[in-house]
Amino acid sequence: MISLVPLLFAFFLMGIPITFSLGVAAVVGLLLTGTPLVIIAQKLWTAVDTFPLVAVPLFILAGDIMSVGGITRRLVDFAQALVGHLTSGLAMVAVVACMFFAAVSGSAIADAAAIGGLLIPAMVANRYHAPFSASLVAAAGTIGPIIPPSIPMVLYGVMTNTSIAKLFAGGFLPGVLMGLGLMIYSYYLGKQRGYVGREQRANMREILRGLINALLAMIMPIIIIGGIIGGIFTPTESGVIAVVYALLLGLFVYRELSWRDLPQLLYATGLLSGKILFILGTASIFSFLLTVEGIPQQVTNAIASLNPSWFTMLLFINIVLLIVGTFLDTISALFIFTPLLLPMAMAVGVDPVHFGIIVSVNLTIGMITPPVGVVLFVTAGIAKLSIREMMRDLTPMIAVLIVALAITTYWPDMVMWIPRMLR
Amino acid sequence: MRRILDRLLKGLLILLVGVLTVCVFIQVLIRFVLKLPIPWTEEVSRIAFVYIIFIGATIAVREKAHINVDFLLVMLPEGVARWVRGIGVALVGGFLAFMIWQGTVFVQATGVQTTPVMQLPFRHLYLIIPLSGALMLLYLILGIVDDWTGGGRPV
Repeated sequence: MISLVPLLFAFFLMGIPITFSLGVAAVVGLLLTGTPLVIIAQKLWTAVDTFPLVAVPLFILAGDIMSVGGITRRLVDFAQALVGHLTSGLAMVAVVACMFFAAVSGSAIADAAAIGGLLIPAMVANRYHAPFSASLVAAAGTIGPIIPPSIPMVLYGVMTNTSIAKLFAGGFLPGVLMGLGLMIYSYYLGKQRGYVGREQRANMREILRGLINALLAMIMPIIIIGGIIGGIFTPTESGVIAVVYALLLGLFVYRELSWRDLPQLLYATGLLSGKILFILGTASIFSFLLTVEGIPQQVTNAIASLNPSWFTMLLFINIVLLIVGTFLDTISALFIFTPLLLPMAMAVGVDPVHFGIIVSVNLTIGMITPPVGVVLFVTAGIAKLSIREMMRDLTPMIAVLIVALAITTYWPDMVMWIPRMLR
Repeated sequence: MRRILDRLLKGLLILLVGVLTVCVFIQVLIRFVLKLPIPWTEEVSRIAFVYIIFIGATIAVREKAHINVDFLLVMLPEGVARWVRGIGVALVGGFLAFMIWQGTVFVQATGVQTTPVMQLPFRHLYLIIPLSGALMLLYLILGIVDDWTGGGRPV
């Protein structure tokens, strides 16, 4: 029965869409084991029929509205006033703006597309190398799903019955850490390559003006994150508040969004949700089959018989996930590997919240590693580069993020500090 | 015919995402302002949500937008790649056939249960499973036909 997993990977490599690879492998398994086939239909419905998941399309929609509604530019301007004068000024701005945007969106693609669309051309015009610019925005975009809200964390929380509020709270410091790491690296590289900031440091008045302009946009993360962590709203409710708030800002305050844009935004959200979440349906047929056959238990027992320490178990899990993340997208990898790996992690005493953050950080790094790095495609497209041309500049940034992942993994108190304050 | 179907699905998807957003918003509003629980909003938004996924996934088949891993495929010689793609499409079609068949079985096996609040019969709601499976299969086949007629491009 274990041979189902290689079969699944063979389907992936044949280029069969992930969702259908899972479906076909599951049907083969059901037929071989004589499990009632009606599971197929039942799981496709029940896997997604849960209210917390409704947060996913809402966060996607909110992020899309913000990208076109004038919010991004104000976040960038404010970041410019704060850090634009430092060495590698625009690079710093890109990272800080990605962190701000991360606090209103839950997706790395939205983050990199919104900030990259504005900043990559600006960086190139100011003599930052194009491969560096595209790589940096891609790397900083991975903060999108780590600083709350976060689509992968909603999915992980639903799959494992872990508090989404605690996961969101736990993502905050690791996300900041990733940002700081990238800023320190940009500073160091900027000294070598002569990337300079703007000549004049923004004075207090400019910073204040930037803050006031961005204030309405900055209130949103406070409402969303504060509301969820404070237990005032559920993640789903905060998603709809984000949508309505972004609509109000875009339509009536900044007036950069028009009613005519809405159908296209709704359509894009529906299509993306269908793509992502149909995978959850077929993945749950597949993992149902694995569970019925006791595979997660067997794998856990096999590993446990080696008697690994907390340290080696986490190292092993991280390496598996990093490899998987290079060729599977975050969401699919999350659906397939969480049921297998969480029991192992819990066997050595890892908290499910901490584990959720490790998985999210790890698999989001996979979004900027070739051959399958969806965020890379976004920024490479903006900078008109091939992925190959980006590799030299990208590799050290991936290393920086892996260091942040290591700290996140091996310093649980840093991750758990804020979640422990909840209740 | 085909354009009507395309537009119908697109319009339905837009409508459902709109309904979902409005419903959840009403729920928040009423919970905070009137302090009343209204159970129908959660039910409507959940149903709309599940339908968004089935319809979104159907459109993604038409757009060939489902996420896949293609780095190996592009390295293969064209003749071999064509075969690999062909087998892939056949397997997807096979899965969809099971989805239609078992979706129908599931609908028939569902008795007269209704949703708790609005009393909608589940057996009608579940029709989306075989229906979307059939539409995905249709778009899969249309995709092959297009590739053949469109200058002999590979499947």
